[in-house]
Parts: sequence; C-alpha cells; structure tokens
Amino acid sequence: MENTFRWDVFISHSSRDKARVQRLAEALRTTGLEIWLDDWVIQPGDDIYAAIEDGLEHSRIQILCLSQPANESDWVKLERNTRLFQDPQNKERRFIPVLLEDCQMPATLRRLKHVDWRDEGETEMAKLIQACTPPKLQKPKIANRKNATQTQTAPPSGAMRVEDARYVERPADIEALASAKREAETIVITAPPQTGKSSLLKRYLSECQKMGKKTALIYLSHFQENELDDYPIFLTELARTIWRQCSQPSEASPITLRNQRELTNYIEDRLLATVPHPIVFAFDEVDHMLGRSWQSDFASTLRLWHERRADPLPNPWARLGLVLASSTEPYLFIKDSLRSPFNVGLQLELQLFGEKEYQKLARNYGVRLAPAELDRMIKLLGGQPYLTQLACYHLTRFDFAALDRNAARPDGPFGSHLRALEKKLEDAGLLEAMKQLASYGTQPGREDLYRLRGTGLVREANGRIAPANDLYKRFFGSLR
Amino acid sequence: MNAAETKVRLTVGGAVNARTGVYIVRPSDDEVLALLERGEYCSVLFSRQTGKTSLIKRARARLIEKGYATAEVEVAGMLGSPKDADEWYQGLLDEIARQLRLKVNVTEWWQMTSAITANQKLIQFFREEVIAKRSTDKPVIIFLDEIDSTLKLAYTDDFFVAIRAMYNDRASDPLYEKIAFCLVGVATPNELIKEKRTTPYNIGKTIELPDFDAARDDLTPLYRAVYATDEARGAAVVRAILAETGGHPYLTARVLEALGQADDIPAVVRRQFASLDEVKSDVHFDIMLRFLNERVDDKRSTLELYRRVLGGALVPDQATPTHLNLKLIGLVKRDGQGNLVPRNPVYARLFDHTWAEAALPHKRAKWRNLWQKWWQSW
Repeated sequence: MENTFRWDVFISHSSRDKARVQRLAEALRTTGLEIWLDDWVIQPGDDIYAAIEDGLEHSRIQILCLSQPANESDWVKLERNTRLFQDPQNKERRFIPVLLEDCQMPATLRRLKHVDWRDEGETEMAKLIQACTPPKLQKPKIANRKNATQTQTAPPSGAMRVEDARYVERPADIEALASAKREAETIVITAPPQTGKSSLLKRYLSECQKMGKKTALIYLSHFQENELDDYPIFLTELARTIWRQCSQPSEASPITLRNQRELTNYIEDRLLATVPHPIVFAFDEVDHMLGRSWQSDFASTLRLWHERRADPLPNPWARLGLVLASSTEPYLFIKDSLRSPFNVGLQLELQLFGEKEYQKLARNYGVRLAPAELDRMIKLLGGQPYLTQLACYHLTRFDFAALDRNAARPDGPFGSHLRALEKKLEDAGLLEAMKQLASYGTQPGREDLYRLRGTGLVREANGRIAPANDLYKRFFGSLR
Repeated sequence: MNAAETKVRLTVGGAVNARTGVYIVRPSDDEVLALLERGEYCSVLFSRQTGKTSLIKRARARLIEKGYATAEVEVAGMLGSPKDADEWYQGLLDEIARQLRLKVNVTEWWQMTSAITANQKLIQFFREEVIAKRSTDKPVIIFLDEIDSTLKLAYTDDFFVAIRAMYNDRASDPLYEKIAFCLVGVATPNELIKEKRTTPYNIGKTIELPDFDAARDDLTPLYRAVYATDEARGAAVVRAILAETGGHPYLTARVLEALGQADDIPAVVRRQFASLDEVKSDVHFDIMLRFLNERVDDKRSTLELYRRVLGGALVPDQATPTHLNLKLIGLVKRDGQGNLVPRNPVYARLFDHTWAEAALPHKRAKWRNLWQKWWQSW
C-alpha cells in the first residue's frame, strides 16, 4: 500500500563504493526524494539489522548499486534477497539495478532494465530520477505520508522527517523558524549529540524553501576520511555538493579547487551570480571538522562569508544564509588566538525536553502516563529527546513499570543505544571514568572531564558533573 | 523597558550589518577616511570587538562612492595558513587583482617576472600592475583585515618590508603616493615583522577606536534601539549604561540585550558581569585572558603596569610593547591627557587587584622566559 512507504528510495550498495553511491544519493535527494542510505539513516546505537529491515519494509523503490565489490559483498546479497523474496513480481514496488562499473550481472537481475551510471552521465541520472519519482502528484503524497507517520509503527531513528506529526517544538524551533522568514542570517544551533539538531535543521530548511530560498544541506559526516584529510579535495567536494543542491542539475560544472579563496570566489562568481534566489548553506555535524589541520582556516572562511554580508555596498553575499549545527561550542571552531574567534551569528541552544515537551510527545504517541510516572520518566531520561521518543515508542506496547524495570538492561528497550555508547566510550578511553562517575560520583581529571562533557552523557551542577540521567547512571554503574 | 520594543538587534560579534544593524559613528571614522583619501598609510590596530571591521567596511564604501579603487582582503578567511609562501603571496595578489578588476594572470606573472625575491616581486607588482594601471589619479587603497593571523606565518615579513619600502620611497618616487595600505587587526605595529634584526613596521598612523561617548558621539541610533518611540527615555537608559561600561561597544550591546522591564541598570550590569568565574563562558573575556596568556611576551611587566594604572598612578601612554599590549588586551585606555586609565568600571571590577596579583607569573617563570628568548634569538 502506498501510504506505508516512508522512503522513496532504499539504496543497497557495497561500502567500498561509498563515495560514488553518496553522489548518486545526493543527486536523487536534491530532487526532493526521500532517500534511505545507511549513513544518513542509521545512528550510533541503532540496531543495524533492524534498521535495514525497517528501511526495506518502508521504501517504495530499491536501488541496487552493481559493481565488482558489490557482487562479492554479503550485505548486498542479503538486502537483495530480502527484496526479491518479498515481492517476486516486482510490480507494486520497483527494483532498479544501477551499474556503477563493468561487472558480471547476477542472473536474477538480467531480466530487469538497469540504469548505466558507469560514467555518471546526466541523461542516465535523469532516467533514474524519472523512474524513482512517484506516479502521484506531490501534494497528495505528502498528505498520505502524514497519515503514515501517525500509524506510529516505526521506532524513531536519526533525524525526524519534517512532516512527522510526532515532532515536539522547543523554544529554539520557534526562533529558528522565525529566522528562516527573515533575510539571510547566520545561525549556530548547539546541543549535545542526539538531541534533535538534525531534525531542527531539516525543519528550518523546509521553512526556508517555503520562503523561496534555495538550500544546500551539507553533512560533514558524509565526507570520506580521505576527503577530509586533504583540504583541496574537501573544498572541491563541498563546492560540488552545494552546486548540485542549489542549481539546475543540467548546469553541472566540474571544478577543482585548490584553496579556500577559490571556494569563496567560486561561490560568488558561479553560484551567487547565476542563482538569483536567496541561498542557505546548512552544515550538519560541524564537529567533524574539529581536529583537522584546516579547521581554523575553514571556520575563518565561514566567518568571512558572514562578514561579507555586512558590507555597506550592495553585494550578493547579502543573499547567503548560513546555519551550522554542532555539539561543540562555536568558540572552539577557531583555535588560535591570532585571529577573530567564531563569535558571529545567532546562537540557538537546543534545550533538553522539559515536562511540557514530555506531555506533548506522549500525547502525540497516544501514550498515557500518570503524573508520578511522568516525573520518573523525566528523571530516568533527563529530557534526552532521542531516548524520550524511543521510550514513547515502547510505551505504545509496554507499561511504564516494565519499561523502567528493564531500562538499563543491555537487552532492554534502550539496549542497543546503551551498548553503542559503551563501545564509543571504550574506544575513546573514557569508559572507566564514566563507570567511576556513575558508581561513586568520582570526578574525572581535567582532560577527561572536558571530553566527557563533549559526549553529552554528563550534566553539570554546582561545578561538578554527574551522569546526564538515571538511565546512564544505572547502566554505567552496573557495568563491571 | 520592553525587550519586544527593541526592534533593531545589536551586534555583539562580527561586523555590524550595514542594512540591519546599529552603527555609531565615532571620530575615528572620519580620521581613517581623511587619511586614506590623502593616500596616507594608516593602521587600525586595536582590541577585539570594538568595531574595527565595521569601520573599515564603511570607510571602503565611502571611498568607492568617491571614485577610489579599493580592495579589501580578510587574510585569515581568504588566504588561510598555507605552508608554501608563494601560495600565500599569489593568493593575496590574485585577490587584489580580482577586486581591482586588473587584467593580469597573477600565477603566470609571478613565474615570469624578472624579480627574484618575494619582496621585489611584490613591489614590482604593485608598481607595474596596480599603480601604473589604475583608472583614476586617486590613490589605490588596499585594506588587509585580520592582520594578526600573519603572526604565525613564517614568511610574511617580505610583505610588510615591501609595503614599508614603497612608503619610504615616496620621497624619491612620487608614483608610490598612488597606493596606500590600511592594516587592521589585534597586533602591535612592531610585531608584524618577525625578524628582529629588521627595522620594525613603524610607518603610517595607528588609529585607536575610542569607546562610545554620549557627549561626543551621536548615539541616537542606540537610543532608538532601546525605545523606538521615546528617544529621551532611550537616552536616559543608554547614558546610565555607559556610566558602567565606559561606552565599550561590546559591553554596552550586551547590557542592552539583557535589559528587562524597568530594570535598575547598575544592578543589571553587576548581574551580567558578576565575577570573572561567571563570565568565563563569555568569549569576550576569554579572549582577553588568552591574549594575556598566549600573546604577551612579558606578562609580568604588563601586569605590573596594569596594577599601577589600576592603583591610580599617573602612567603616560607610550609606544612600548608593554603599553601597547595592555591596550590591545583592552584593559586600559588613553584619557584626554594622554595617560593610561582603567578602560571601564566593569573591567576594573572583574580584573581587579586581587586578580592582577594572582595572575602574575612566578619569578622562576620569568627567568625561564628570558632564557627561552635568549635561546630563540640565536
């Protein structure tokens, strides 16, 4: 049934084709299609198998990226079999093989028409977009989706869709949406990880689009490690990502940039000069630039774009809005004291959920909670939006007592999230400090303290830190 | 007072937006403009968040209106910190050429020129490509913002030496009167050239930005920002704030932002800037402390001078690194008689005697610094 689809396109691929697949996905996304791509959808802590199953279940079209590595990959095989098994006739849902490079086409796929994207040609991309675009008009589709989200069958994961009726607004939402209506500005959204920055960013951009602004959403986490290591490659990829989203696909302009000055001039001469609309660049997960050799230089460039807007003379930069979402204080973007700090723009701190937000969210999920239970839930989850959503989802099936009882168990309702956190802390060498903090309230040393604060797993009160909520206290306190 | 009535938003970080922001004109605005119009070199080297970039952006706009050819290069954001000196120089010249709309391929020019050293190439470029090919008889004005970001680049001495040479050669070659540079940033003129055996960059006038003064400046835009409809009421509020902030642009904007209905202004200021511990998360104060800790060579002398100023001693302003650094941190200002005085009551309360004493480095650290300096000078 049409209205059970939450994504237009599910992309199966081998991780070795990641860079190309991301370009493909990005190109599809710019046309307004909702794309399921593992990197974009699966969040740390999610159950990967469940997420894929859920993605396949709720996607209308599956694209299988064919390449030599893909044919050898078990993952791809698994996804392919699932889909073919589910729908052997391949009529209601569509299945489109996309050829990335010369390779042996599996026998089961030969009878299907494929798209040849070996040279990343524009015409083949246009064909693919055509094939992926739903037959119905845009408007009824959105209406259907709204109903679909209200069926509440899916656990929350990652950023919420803009039209998701379960979304709960906070004061920062209202400020951000008001800014979307104004002339170009710079906004920095700060909040700990997994507290709804990406969702807010999406809503902000959606509002901008309604105002007739062109938008480019840039996930710094989507860049490959080799792209982030090499500044010119990063700048080039960034320019391409922006260009793809802000201009007509036919106007593809292959460029290679050598430095940040060329990027700035590219934006002025190519983008702002040819696109007459107001434009917004949205950078999600800005934290990914921290620690790179080019961090301060790039942040200075962003600051420069902001400053150009202030020029008294008429200039195209007045049309360029910037929005950055970060778990880190923007002050830390520019490290050295020999230049101006990143102290520009409107800083919006996304607050954790309070009682009001809890009540709204519970209502949106159709969950009833006694006042005492609500109090306990707030203490248990500390207002962490992602956990709260997950809790509401589970409360549609269990009562609060059961949820509370099993909350901190590794196989409980928050298990995969908690286990992923454990792994993350262990990798960062912070697990012991967190265990000590949870068990005995032991304050870590200065270095660990700063790093723990960056994880969003602790809160501060009266100059001391403590686990951010009872759930973390119980879970990390129970680890031996 | 009603926050909702504050229709105009005040700028606390970055340049004031010329279309949407509140800008206060100070005597330094006219001073910079007059110097540049005459083709004089000048530098706006002053403490952070005091309106340097806003000032030069406006000066540049007015120069363009008057028919001057100008270029403004924000060197940190534009050029970054490349390892290769040629990349920095070519980027700089290319950007200047681009803004002046010169028809020259800088990369080719740089490779083809007969000049050998970067210093000579720069002079030749400015002489033959910029000055000789200018479209009017007015001097070409080049603004360089964030100039302190060059302090950590090993290769920028050639640039400052080149522009100083052009200035010094004006007497013998009037062609050099047709170009002038305006350097902007948080630095002392004598640290721009890092090689200590070379004469420092000591040319042109260095402009300091005075804090807002109700008796001197037209603060009407600020009054209206407070009370859109009642200028007199706005004026009363702003004057009460200036008494606390001494007219410091950032502090004043911050207090105005925090103001609620019918507030007792001194109380708001005390709440806003209660103690150094509580304002530590405010970037403004952190920058001041970082400047003192990371950029001041002789922290002890600087703090000792500050203690004398704070204690009310008569300290005439001088061009020593210690005096200059103290002003760049922002802690003191020069009064009408040319003496250094505490910048404003807010700073004087936060950075008080107790703080200054505790911040003094230990004697042993002083010897270590001296030893390090001696070692580095070899």
